[in-house]
Amino acid sequence: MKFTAFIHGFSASALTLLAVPALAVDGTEKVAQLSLEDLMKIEVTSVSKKPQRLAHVAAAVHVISAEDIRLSGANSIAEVLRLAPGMDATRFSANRWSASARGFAELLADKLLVLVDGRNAFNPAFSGVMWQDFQFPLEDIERIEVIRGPAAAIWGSNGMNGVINIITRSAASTPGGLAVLGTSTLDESYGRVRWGGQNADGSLFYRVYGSTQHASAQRAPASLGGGSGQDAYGTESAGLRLDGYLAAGARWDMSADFFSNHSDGLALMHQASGTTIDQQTERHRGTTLRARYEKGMDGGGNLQFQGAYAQTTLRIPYVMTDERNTVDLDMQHRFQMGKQQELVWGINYRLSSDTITPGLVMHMDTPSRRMNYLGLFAQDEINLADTWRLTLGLRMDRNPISGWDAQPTARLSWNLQPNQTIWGALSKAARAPSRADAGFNRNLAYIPGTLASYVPNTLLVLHGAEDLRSEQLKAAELGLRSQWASALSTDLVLFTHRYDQLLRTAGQMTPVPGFPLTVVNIDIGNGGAMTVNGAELAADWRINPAWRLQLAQTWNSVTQDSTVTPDPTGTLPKSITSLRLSWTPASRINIDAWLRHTGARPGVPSHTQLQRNAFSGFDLRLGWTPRKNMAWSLVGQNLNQGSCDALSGSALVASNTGAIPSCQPRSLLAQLRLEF
Amino acid sequence: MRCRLRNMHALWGLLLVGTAWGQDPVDVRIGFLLNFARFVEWPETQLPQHAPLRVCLAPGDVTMDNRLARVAQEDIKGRPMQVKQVARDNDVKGCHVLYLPAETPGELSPWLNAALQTGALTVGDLPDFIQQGGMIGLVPVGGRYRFDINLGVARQADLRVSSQLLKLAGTVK
Repeated sequence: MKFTAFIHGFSASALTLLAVPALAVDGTEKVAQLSLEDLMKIEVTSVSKKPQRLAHVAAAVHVISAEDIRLSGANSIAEVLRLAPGMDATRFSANRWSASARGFAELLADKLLVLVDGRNAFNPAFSGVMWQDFQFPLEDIERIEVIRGPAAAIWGSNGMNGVINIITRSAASTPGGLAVLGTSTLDESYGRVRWGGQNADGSLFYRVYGSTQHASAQRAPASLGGGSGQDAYGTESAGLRLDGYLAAGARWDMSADFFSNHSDGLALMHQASGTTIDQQTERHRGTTLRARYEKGMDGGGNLQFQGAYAQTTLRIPYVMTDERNTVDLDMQHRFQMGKQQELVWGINYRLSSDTITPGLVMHMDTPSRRMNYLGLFAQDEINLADTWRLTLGLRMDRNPISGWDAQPTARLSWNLQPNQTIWGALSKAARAPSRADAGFNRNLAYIPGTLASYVPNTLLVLHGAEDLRSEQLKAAELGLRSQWASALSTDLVLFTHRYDQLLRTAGQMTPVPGFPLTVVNIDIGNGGAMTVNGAELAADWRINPAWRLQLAQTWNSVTQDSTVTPDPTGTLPKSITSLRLSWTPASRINIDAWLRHTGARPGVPSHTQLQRNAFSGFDLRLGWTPRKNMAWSLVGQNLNQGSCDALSGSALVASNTGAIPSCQPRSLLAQLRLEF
Repeated sequence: MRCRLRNMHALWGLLLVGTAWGQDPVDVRIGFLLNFARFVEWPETQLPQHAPLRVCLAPGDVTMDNRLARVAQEDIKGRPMQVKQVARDNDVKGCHVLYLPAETPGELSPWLNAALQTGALTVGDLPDFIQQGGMIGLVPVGGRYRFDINLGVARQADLRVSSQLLKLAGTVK
């Protein structure tokens, strides 16, 4: 009986097998019956008829998709950035992240521009972003465009080493409810809730969200005697987005976001009485309003206006309280000129006014200031021949400290085959001095003297200067973007960055002798120069429908051309690796393994404290979608070892903030995602 | 025994899903096209109740031309479907859906304008289709198709796009 059944089964199956070619012929009817969800899962033999625009772009661009974010298991934007080649992103403590590209990955990294839906999100106080303040739901992100290298010709000063362009989903594509609840041994607990809907005639869409996240304190590095890293963290945020569609094809959207957080940390405090390690709780809160209007023009052109207002209060005990109001106005016009040219030009204006109340280790020359910034840019993309494209761009920026900067770029791309593009670019970029560079005076170090030999105690004070020039970059890039087969693509970029007029602290020194305390004032000045050469490789191989391998590999080499103190070369690792293996054993199950390695940061003999050890992390994510509207995930992070992720050994003065890192232990995270 | 047989079928079914690796992209595009038509509503004036839904195909993709005829018996939300090849943008009048393959000869804008005039849903697989004014663009991403929607243009043609479709889209403009 069993045998007969087997034979029957076998013959039936064999028939099915034989029917395969027939099925392929009759496939159209079968495929036509499939649902959208199923169609989106089907792997096709060759998809690309003509390459997408991204394939031609003569710049080092990497797009992190919503799916990449979901499968990464990362629970913060800074950690998601590790997916892109060239990015050096580190979790510094339970509540601090640093992220940069092509060097300068400090806690207060100040050469990378971050935009959220086109709104410039950097804080003019120090020209960077605080990643712990970016806690809007990861689920609302449509994609993150990571542009490495100078993008200043369009985006302006601060886009010196790159641009992180975070694009959130239109409210039209987030209907209904979503709840994400998670708990972790590192991030104690978090929850995000979203609801979206539309009006009766489908011309107005809305979405509201609320989010909360809490992390408990981690361990302090062994060099500090272990114990609690005192870096607990809690944040609440809420916001809304509206998307409206007008009769004539114009559209607008606006968003309002509010966040409030508190984050503990240990920091070195240098005062006249000596150096102490203090625990402090920072409190940040902010409200942002943003509105954008976009109109398509005849012939494929596009006109866009955007306005944004941000009000932030950063309370950093001992250091300062920064109360700030920032207004941004942007206009951008894109149009075709003749058949072969596409022009884009625009204007940005920014007004940022602040009141800064110094803490114990700070003194202010001007406690209150209004800063005006103006940017004008134009870029022309010219089709030279079918396979050659030339892009010429120029941006003029004016800032209140160093005046005007010209930032030109010339980019050429050549499609030597439909699936192979070679591109090259020459660019100049500038980084405008920040409010901190110009007006902050901050205690840098305390050197105890000896009473017996009458050597006084010494306090080094860093003096901001008004006569600063912008830091300058000349960059050359060469790229090869290839689609070797429908399932294998690579993107290789070689670059050389030559920095000039870098700000350095060893400018003019003015001792003010005294006993028992001598104060030495050190001016900030331009004068540092260094060269970074490197290569960035991204590879994506879909081995078969169930397996996918993604590599992001970076190699850097740095030489210092004139002394910069503190030496930024110490912040550049020689290699960064991100290797991801995705396995879909069944349609409802995803298993993702992620291996990360950051090489040692070289440091220099004179500043051994900046030297950092190499570290590796291994993450594993198991995702299970039992129903269409329900997904579970279990993520293990740093499974190889609980390590001091950021640094180890004697590297205490890790950053110019004096903040002290904590260790990142092995952690386990469980998350439930529900749609309703 | 039946049960066993069914199991075996299920097994082969599974293997077949496995070999969906390398599914013909033309069939998949047609699958998407029919689904888009199911998730869009036309105004009563454009498409009266029970009237047939006319799906038009611009020239350039011969395989798609041939295959589309095979699904002409499909019904779309209870409506019979008519498939029509259109040679020029002037012939677009009366179409409810217009598919523009990447190989469509000449400029895209006359086709898009004609479709907008007649209130047809435009679907295409040209790169940056929605940036150029198309309504739903099929985008190859890592060996699979995704789609983007330009809701502004769809609304200009008085089309209602269902929230289910908007939710699955990669980009909604």
